[in-house]
Amino acid sequence: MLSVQGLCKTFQEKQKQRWKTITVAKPVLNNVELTAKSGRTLAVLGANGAGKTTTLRCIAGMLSFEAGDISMNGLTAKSGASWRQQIGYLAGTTRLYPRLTVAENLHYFGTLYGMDKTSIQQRIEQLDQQLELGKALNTRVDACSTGMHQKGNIARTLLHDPQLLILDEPTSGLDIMASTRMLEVVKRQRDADRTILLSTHHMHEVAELADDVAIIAKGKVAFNGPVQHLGQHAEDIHQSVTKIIQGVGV
Amino acid sequence: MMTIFWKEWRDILRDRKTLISLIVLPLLLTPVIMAVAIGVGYLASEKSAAERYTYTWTSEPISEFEAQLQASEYFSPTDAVADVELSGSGTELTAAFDTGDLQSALGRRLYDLVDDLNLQYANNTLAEFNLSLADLEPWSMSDRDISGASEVETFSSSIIGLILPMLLMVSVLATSMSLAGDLVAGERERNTLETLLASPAPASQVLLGKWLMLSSAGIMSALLMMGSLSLFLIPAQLFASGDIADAFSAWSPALLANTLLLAIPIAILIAGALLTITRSAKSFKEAQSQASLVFILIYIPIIFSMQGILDPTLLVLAIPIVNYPVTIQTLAAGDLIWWMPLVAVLSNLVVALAVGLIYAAKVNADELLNGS
Repeated sequence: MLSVQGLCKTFQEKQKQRWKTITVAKPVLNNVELTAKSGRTLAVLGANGAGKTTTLRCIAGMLSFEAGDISMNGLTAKSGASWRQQIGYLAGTTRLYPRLTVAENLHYFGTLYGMDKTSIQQRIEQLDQQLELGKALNTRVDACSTGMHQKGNIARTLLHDPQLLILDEPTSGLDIMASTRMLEVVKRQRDADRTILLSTHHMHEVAELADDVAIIAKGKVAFNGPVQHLGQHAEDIHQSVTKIIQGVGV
Repeated sequence: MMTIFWKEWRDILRDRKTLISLIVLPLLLTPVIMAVAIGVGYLASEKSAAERYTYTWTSEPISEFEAQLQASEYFSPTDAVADVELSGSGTELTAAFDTGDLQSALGRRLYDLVDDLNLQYANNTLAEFNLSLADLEPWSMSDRDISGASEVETFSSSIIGLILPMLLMVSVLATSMSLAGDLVAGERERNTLETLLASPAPASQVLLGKWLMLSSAGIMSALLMMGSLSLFLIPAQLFASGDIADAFSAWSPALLANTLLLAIPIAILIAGALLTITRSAKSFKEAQSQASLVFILIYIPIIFSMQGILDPTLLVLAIPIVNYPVTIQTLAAGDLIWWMPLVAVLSNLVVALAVGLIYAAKVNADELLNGS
């Protein structure tokens, strides 16, 4: 189970004044508390700039934080490489190396995750069957379509068979087919007892995939509970989420 | 770290623009520049040696000067349009010609003739009093080079001392600058840095891998440039003649190898400085403009120390960057003492490692991910 307790994060922003640049502390997260269980999907919702991506990046071990604890399976986010070893991170913005083929990208990241060549190859074959990578494997990423690129990106995220999947707006910019494939992947991973954190602005994805919901507003968790408490359908959830965010003030 | 190093090489070698700046330019451009420079110099000297000028008098000819012109192999009279129109009377001569033609040695040749006339006149006048020029100017001096180097060797070593450090540093700086912006800021712009930092590779290892790659690219560029220079020098030494052949007489494989070895710590230093400065840039373009600062910081001391005003003392050789041209010049002149390159290499290496360690140790994950 993933546990986030008392997470606080402040960015040091540089602001240019007339003759000099000054650093201003900008608090982004203030005592964020979350739990996500194995085999369940926690949807992390909120307005733009609320702190969703920062929360997910702190959990992924990519950003440092001033206070709080993030732990799972006896490790904490400050454990460094061994923490990141159990996480698969995919954001709508993350890209593969354009001048390498998809397979070369997978070999590269597999090596960074400490996998040997044989296990990388075996895993690529498995992912090829699951995701139908096909020709994309040996195609340079800059020659791949958006959908093929996203397939490769999903394969990269699942390559080391992570326990925790962090998906930050993974369907942003994708067409309907690629989005559907993405949602299927999430379902399959949830069924395989993985813990999933999903940040999205699409309420139909929340209705279809989420078991639990955390709403972040102004750097704090404004709601954390089962999705049923917000409604059964996408429209109901949308109204509930809007009310909660407006209640806190954006 | 090595995984990142090899991936960076593979990635860079897939980029045509980078391939051109990294491999094709040092291989082709250096011999082309050298060949053009030498060709122009050769043609100019040949032209100057073979040039003939026509003259005409617009006044009554001055008989003494006319005799000088007829005795000269460079001048012939003409009735048509002449290169130079001469006029005057008594001992006053005026020459009218186009002084804008810098390739022409016409003016120098005319002044030489006047000098000869003056000398003849002075000798004749002094002879009437049983004197010679030596009686009026009794003091003379001659110099003797105790280094054992001939005039030709000195000329060649001074040419090499200027060209070699300049070409090598241009090559290392151009390659390193073209790649540095792509390695961190370029990754950030393409959104691949986020993917990389989500992996278990620590940020410091990511940066060290990139530093290693950039250093090796700079060294490779220097190596390619030296290789292409060597390939060019063999035929140049075989077929060139005159001043051109003299200029190349001090080139040797040992000199090229030593120059390359001395460049290695500087390539590492340049890579560290470039990555330290550009790693917070938000875009490739911003990184490129920041990299130009490193170019200035490195190249100005090199140009300064190439002027030959610094002696290879322990203090000078301990100054990073500055010590490079000084050591090459001393090496080319044959005055090198064994500890000199050692001090230069150690000094550059210590600063390079210090820059690199500060670069990797002071890494801040937030800054690396978002830029500043």
